[in-house]
Amino acid sequence: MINILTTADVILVIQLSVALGIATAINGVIFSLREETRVITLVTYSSSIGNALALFFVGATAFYVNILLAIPTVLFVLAITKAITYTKKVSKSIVTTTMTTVSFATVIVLLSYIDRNFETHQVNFTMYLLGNIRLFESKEINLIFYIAMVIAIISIININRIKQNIFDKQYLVTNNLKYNIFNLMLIIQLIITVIASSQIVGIVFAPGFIILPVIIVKYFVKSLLQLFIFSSLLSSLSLFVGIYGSLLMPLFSTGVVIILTLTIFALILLGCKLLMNKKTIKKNILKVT
Amino acid sequence: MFLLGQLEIILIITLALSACSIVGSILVFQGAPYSPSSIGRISTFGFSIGFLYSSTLSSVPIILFSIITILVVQKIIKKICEKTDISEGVLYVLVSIILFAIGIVIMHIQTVNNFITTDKIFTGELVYTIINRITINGYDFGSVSLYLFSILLLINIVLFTINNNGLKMLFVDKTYYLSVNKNTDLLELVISVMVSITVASTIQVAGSFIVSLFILGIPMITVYFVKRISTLAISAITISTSVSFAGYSIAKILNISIVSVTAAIISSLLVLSAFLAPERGVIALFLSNRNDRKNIMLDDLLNYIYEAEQVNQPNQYQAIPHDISDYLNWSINYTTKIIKLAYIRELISKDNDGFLQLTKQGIKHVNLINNA
Repeated sequence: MINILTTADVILVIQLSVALGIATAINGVIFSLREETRVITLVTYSSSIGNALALFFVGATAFYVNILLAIPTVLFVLAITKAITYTKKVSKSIVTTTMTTVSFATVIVLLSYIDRNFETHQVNFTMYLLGNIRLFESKEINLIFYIAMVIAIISIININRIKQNIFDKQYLVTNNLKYNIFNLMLIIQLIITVIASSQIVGIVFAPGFIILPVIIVKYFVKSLLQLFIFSSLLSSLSLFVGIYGSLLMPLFSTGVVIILTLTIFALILLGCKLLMNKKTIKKNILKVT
Repeated sequence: MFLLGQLEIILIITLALSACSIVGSILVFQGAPYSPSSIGRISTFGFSIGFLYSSTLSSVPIILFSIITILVVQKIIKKICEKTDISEGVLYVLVSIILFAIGIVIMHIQTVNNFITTDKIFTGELVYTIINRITINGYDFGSVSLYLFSILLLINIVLFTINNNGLKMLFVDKTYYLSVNKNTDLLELVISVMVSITVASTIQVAGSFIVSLFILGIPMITVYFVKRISTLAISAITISTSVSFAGYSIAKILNISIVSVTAAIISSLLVLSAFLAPERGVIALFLSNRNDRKNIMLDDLLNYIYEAEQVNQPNQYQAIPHDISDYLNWSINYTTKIIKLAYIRELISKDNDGFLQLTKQGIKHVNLINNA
């Protein structure tokens, strides 16, 4: 368990918060602006099948095994979802929601089977679902930090292509930039981000943690760059405060504390916006009179 | 007593699945902006507050608080959507996650000294549903959940039957419905009430997440086989019974939670029916689309040969595969395939110079297309 009183661990938590904050915010911006928020939830739950499979076959939840198993699982689930949507019998949102729950049910079946039948592995459901930073060693947190950092750097390098992907798909297609391959890359990036963040926030709160900052910040900014920067800041800040909060309050899971911190920040920001709006209206009325 | 307990569990799950399927049939046709999983998370908040009061499952405060929470949140979200440009779906996801987090905090405090852990609220555990029993003068009248789900099923059947015509009209032609009934508010309220009662009750059996699959799963299986909403609801109830029996038996053999196995069976059936359904399944649809495409291309090929014969432009384009592929912009492989298909159907033949020509049947086919 990390020690909040040592300088090395404090630096580690700061690094983790910043890297993971940037990685999640960038993915949040991409998928929110493409109006694919349900896809984030689907990817989160289906990637956790990879997590459960890793535990089932290998008996460990090593990060790289999770990623290796999660990528084909998620792509398989996305393919099935697309195929079912192709029949046009049910709306896309209903299919996505159902496939999300199907993934969750698969995870629960696998985990409860492992928990009840494998004497060597004890499954901690709360950790899987809600995340718990207290169960991680500094080494594991370091790994999450490095992976989040790599994703953040890749996203920053590809920022122009991401912009085109969000706003001008036709440009990518006409300029032969292999739209489908780029889309696949974005999905893989999202899978890795989701796995990294769900270790801390838990699979239940990972989609909310990715989407929430972007939705809030959208009301305060005017450009895409500002959206990237401020949602990263908000994510990082809530991660830092949330991780410390959960270390100080052992009763609650990390995911819960982080989401509640994020909600408090959101309420403060929205309150400020309302106050500012009122002041502007008053000023305008005074000017007119 | 043990056998009776088993039967009770199977009955509870059958009743819960049937009640859920009726609501699910409506949602599958309506395509509501909220998903039952969001509603499930929202109701966890009400559930936790109700749990603070009663500390037992299937109690009135739990269901009441859950229903009130869902209805109030739905109203607030609708108001916010009217005033801002945030989409309803996104708002549901966000509000549900925040309320769910608060609900967990309340539940953590309450379940510290309780036999029900928060895990069970997420994943669902049927065994707990038969603990609370109705006993009068020492005589056991069965579990509270059994009565709860019977009442729930009854309410859903009654509401569904009363509003059947309105629902049909709303799904098929909303404009016509509005011209007859002024607005959709009442029907939407009925649907909201049905959803909230069902989610609030089923969450105690299926957990906050799997409740969504209980509601949508079986109607989605049946939607590939039936056309009418009433048939959909009836067949969904029939499937529910078989699924609950199978779920219970497999769970006993594999030693896993009954709810998760039931959910897994529903998931497998859903994927199988979506892919293998005879007329509307993915494979059937894919094959039928491919045949349609082939027929259209066959028509194009026959038209080309007809024009080549009639207009007679042998110097520009000739009725040979290479020229056809150039003119119609098809790959040479695909052109050969379509030509083979035309041969098989005896629509074309080769003349002495090796050019393709239409048979009598082919000419008849082209005339039929052109006249159409």
